[in-house]
Amino acid sequence: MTFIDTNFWMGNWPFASIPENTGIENRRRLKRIGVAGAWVSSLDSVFQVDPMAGNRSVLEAIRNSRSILPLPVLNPGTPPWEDHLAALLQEPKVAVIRLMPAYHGYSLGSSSVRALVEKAVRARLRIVITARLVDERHEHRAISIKPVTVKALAGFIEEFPKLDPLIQGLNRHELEALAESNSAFLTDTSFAEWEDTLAVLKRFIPTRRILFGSLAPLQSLQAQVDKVRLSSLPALQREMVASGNARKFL
Amino acid sequence: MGEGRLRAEVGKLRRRAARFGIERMVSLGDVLVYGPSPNAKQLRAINDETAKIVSWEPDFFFGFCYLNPTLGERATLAEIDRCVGGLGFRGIKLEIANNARAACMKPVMKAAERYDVPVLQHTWSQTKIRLRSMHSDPEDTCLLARRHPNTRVIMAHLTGCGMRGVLAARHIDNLWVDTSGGSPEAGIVEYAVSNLGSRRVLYGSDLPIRDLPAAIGQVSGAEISRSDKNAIFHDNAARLLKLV
Repeated sequence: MTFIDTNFWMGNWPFASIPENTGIENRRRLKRIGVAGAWVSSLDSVFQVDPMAGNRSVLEAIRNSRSILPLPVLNPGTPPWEDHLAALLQEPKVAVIRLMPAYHGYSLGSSSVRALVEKAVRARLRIVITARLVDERHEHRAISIKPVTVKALAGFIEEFPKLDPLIQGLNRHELEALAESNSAFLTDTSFAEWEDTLAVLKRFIPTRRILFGSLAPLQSLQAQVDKVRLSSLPALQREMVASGNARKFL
Repeated sequence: MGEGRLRAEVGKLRRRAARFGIERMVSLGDVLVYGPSPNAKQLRAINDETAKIVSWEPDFFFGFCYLNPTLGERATLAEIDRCVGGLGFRGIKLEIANNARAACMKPVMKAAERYDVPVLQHTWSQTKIRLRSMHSDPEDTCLLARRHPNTRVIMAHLTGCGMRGVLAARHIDNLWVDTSGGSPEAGIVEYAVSNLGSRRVLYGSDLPIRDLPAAIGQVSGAEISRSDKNAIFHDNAARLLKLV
């Protein structure tokens, strides 16, 4: 089974040591567990004011890789986001951009998000929205970051009905609630969990709308791979989640 | 949690678990079905259901006796005698009826010592939960173990307890931590092994609210030795539950 990880990260995380999180080491790690490709964002773009430093480090790290794609982070809450977008559009490998409203303090309903989405659509970029990176129940004491709500996501989907964004980091109950209100989105496997996760998700989200995402190295890559590989779904559907749907998304 | 109470569902779960090499499983009961503080009748219903599941697959399941210590010493001891003494349950399960520091825990711990069974206490590092009277932080469960050095305590949910829980659990010989909990956080199994030693880490899945292959993969994919993995997956639990 071929895997493409749509939710893979490099860089530094302020609350735990991530050993050897370099481009080369990550390629080795992915290969060892059987993940053939990945879309990579930088953890440095999460907490640094300027997300471009992290984006540049990803672009540099994967420059010679054909199977690993950049997933740069944009922050429409900071004024130069249009310059950042323009710079990313010069990069031939950039086909997707990531928004992180919970970490960058803006609303998905804001005028800058609307402007960014319109520009991204014109440039044929796909949009990924990070709803959460960690379980908010045991976040570091010094910070308080609430995940993007189902209501905010439903409003965003309604505003851009043809966008089909990839929404990552939702749990099973949030996905069920969002799917009830609007089905025009895709999601990943990073936070969705229940016994035989894919079989449960399939009850309310078509398998063609679920992409493999590990959230490694914050989460165990092996555990996330096994969640898909050892699901009770037929092999063809597991393959779609593992990599086929990611290819189609691009 | 509403799933896994029918015989067909239990059989399906057993077959899927066996496919991944699970030989035995502890059944804890649907502990929150009546809310955080069930009355005596509700408690008996939960434990009766556990007994029923064990009776369906006696070579596979062990039962743990779920308790609400706030019901008082008499009711608590009666349920322990019924379940551990009478039904052969192999341990005691505590959830969020009270904090592990509460005085009502004393008769539970004394009875566990008398029956020589472990006490599994739900525990979570509650940096964003303000329900300390009900929930137990790692430090609460660790204090419980220190107060009762002759009783074996399992601090549930390594991923929920996090690094904070591992640090709190150092140097407590009668305390184990299980690997269940939230999403499969990378590095936490390695951190537990390096701080506590693999002998004090137990594999746990938290089924059915977590994914079984992911729960296993969190341990099998950890960068620890094969013997450490064997200890976590099998040997430690076998010793703790007196299977060897």
